[in-house]
Amino acid sequence: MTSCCNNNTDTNINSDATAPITIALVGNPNVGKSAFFSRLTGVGVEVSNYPGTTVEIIKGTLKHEGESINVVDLPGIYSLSASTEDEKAAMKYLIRERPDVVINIIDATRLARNLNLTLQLLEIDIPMVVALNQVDAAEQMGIKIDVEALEAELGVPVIPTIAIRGKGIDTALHMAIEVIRPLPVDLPHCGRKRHRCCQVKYDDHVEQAIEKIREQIPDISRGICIRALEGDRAFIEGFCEYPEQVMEAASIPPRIEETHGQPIKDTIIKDRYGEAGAIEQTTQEKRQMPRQFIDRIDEILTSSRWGLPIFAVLMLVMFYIVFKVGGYLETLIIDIFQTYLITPVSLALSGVHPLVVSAIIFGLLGMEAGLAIVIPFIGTFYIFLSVMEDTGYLPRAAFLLDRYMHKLGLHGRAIIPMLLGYGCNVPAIIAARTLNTHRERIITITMVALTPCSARTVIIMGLVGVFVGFWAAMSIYFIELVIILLTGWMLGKGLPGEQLGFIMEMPPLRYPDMQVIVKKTWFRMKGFVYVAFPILIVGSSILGVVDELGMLAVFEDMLSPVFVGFLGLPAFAATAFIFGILRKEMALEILAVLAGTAVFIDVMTPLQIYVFALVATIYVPCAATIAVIGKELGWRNMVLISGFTIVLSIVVGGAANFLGLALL
Amino acid sequence: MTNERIEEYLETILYLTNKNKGPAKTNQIAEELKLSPPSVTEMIRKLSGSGYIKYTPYHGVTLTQKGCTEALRIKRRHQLLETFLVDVLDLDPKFAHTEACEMEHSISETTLEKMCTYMGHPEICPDGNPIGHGECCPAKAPNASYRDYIPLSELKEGEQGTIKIISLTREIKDRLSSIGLIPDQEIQVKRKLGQGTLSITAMGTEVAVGKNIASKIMVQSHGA
Repeated sequence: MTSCCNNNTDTNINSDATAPITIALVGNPNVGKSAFFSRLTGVGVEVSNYPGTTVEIIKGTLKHEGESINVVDLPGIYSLSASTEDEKAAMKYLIRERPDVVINIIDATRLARNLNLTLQLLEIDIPMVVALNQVDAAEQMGIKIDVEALEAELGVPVIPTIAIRGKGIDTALHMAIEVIRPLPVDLPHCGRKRHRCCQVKYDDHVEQAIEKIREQIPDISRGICIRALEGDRAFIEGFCEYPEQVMEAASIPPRIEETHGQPIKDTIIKDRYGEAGAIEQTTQEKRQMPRQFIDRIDEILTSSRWGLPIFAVLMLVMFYIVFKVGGYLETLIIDIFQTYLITPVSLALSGVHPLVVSAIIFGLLGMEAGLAIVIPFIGTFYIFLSVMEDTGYLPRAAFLLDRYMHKLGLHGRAIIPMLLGYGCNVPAIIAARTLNTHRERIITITMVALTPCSARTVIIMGLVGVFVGFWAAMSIYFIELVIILLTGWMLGKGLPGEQLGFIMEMPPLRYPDMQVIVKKTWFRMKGFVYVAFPILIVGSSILGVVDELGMLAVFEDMLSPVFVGFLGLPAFAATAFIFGILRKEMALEILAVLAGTAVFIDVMTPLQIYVFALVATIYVPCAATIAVIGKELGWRNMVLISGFTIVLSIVVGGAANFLGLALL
Repeated sequence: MTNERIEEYLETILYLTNKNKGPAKTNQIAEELKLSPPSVTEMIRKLSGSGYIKYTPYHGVTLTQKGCTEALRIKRRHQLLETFLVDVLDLDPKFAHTEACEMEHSISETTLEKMCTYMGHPEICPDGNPIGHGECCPAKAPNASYRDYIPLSELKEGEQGTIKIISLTREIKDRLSSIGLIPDQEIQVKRKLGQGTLSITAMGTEVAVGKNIASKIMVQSHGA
């Protein structure tokens, strides 16, 4: 920035001719931005958390006419005023990193609402092209948009696109590069100009206030004045050299507020929406369409009578399928791993120092554990998740359950991660990202970490279900459900923090697109693989070395007062628990090894089996879950949550032990 | 006589004269304040002497201009505190009411105005009554009358209306306005569940809002 507050965009391109161009994708949530991004970049995508947030900024690169171009997919935002974490992260990026050009993706089915952001972007004067996405869906809804008229209104190139099918993407990319190319090119209307021919004309009083600021600070741009009048301090601080001066100059609008009977910010927002509405009217034709079959389905899905039963059935079917398919695939993967990798490697390593053998074999076991969870359970889950997300069912589920979630101090949205937790905690914790506030995320993630996932189901069903009885197994589910709800309730009461309330856009219900779903699933699994795998493998290796050095025995002795004395378990159970951290059902497998038999009832009493299962399913979540909690909430919360679950498991296990001894 | 006592009396008299649509009776005041009638009569004499009220024997008590201004000022304090306690701190409304009764006498004008501004100059108290206009509040648009407006949460499925007043914190207001819910926006209730969660369409977009939020958005109903 050379001068105060003058968002001088020309310096960006010419200052360093060799630096690759950066294009940022900006748009409302649910407009097909991710589809646009993956079409644009294909492979070679890097996912990164922008400093200070848990919000993902996804980057990719592509080659265009020999030039290498960076593409950044910013989180979906509704406006430039930063009220959610997503908006804050997107704003921070726009201010600090200053992309060379923005592709603003707008949804043709909801033009006016989307144009609000477009008009804001035009005001802050970043070179821009508009991708009018989902023109096909708009057509189906009887909406026809005159692209040329829209171009004329906005003063920037507008390219109709269908991102899901890759239509118009190349043109949009080409235009984006043309817009910032220093050579003069023939572009429609004033698209070439950075100072737009179109700007929102605000109420006279607002315009006067803008003039007043400009009298005091001559080189300030119009867009900055408006953001300052809206009281957007964060933006001004990021953009200006003298933020105090600007805010000071902008704090003189009481007369406007008096005349309008509302804060100046509201006047500005209203005028901007008014402009967006006017543009929509002049550029869009809408025919009334007959009610579609899908509208009827939509109605039933959220009806007071059928909504909840349908939801319950869908969830049950989903759990059942994930459990079945996941379980089948898991066995298959473990078999393949054992036969073709672990056995040959351990044979090949004979004669090598045992410490090295342990490190390698345990590392491989960690990898096996990762694969055996990721591919079967997470993969299957993500397919369901993507279907529910792509069709727009998830927001409907959140809508249905909002009222009940309030009792836990949460909102409807939190239901999504909580349900996913029953399959696998890892994607569930990732899904908690869609929640608005940090507070809601902490509550939800803690509850998820306590949810008996399918791996824990293996312990409950395989141990208690087989050797004690079906109802005993069910009682563990019940106890844990009570624990989860109590924890949520207590956290909801105790945790301070902002409560934003339930406000959520409901995208139209649509038929799923298999291609998109497969892509989304793959993309998400990749994210997990990159994050959790290295930790899992290194962690397992370390555990192997610790075991080889005989430290596990020391550990067993150390813990025996708790495990033998308080919980009434055999001493070797402690080691089983340690292995359970790697992969929960491994606690069971190791227990069999240590007990020397898989017929547990020969070596343990039914009460010991019950307590073992209870503790094994509550104490710290598996390594992958811990890793993902750390990634989402930071290590401090990770330690807190893990510690909490350990204490909780011992308390609950001990209570069950003493109660059992007293009763039986 | 302490300020707090004067304020309690004025508040009660305001409440009773509104309720009676006429002067407040001495025994009513005594009942409300849980005091004996003789001590109330004593206090009324004093208040009358300071020019806050007008007392006509056998008829009752009415507030003078001075008394009325003072009473309204206290009422506004009470309502703002109550709104703050319920909406921002999420306290139980009953508890908030008792708490506000205590706090209203000690809070300074400066703090109160900051509070009012922080909440975005709320116009409806959690108990549903309109909050008086303060010096810190922007002037109201002409002709705005609360009586014509009802909370969005009371619209039925399929009914249409125009958003008029949003009495929520700046943060939530921002969030609403960023998805197109602003004053004077036409809306229609698309779905409504028995327990109050509803969704509305505005600007071609459907937005779901929880009951808590819907009850703070005042709309002018246009019917189905």
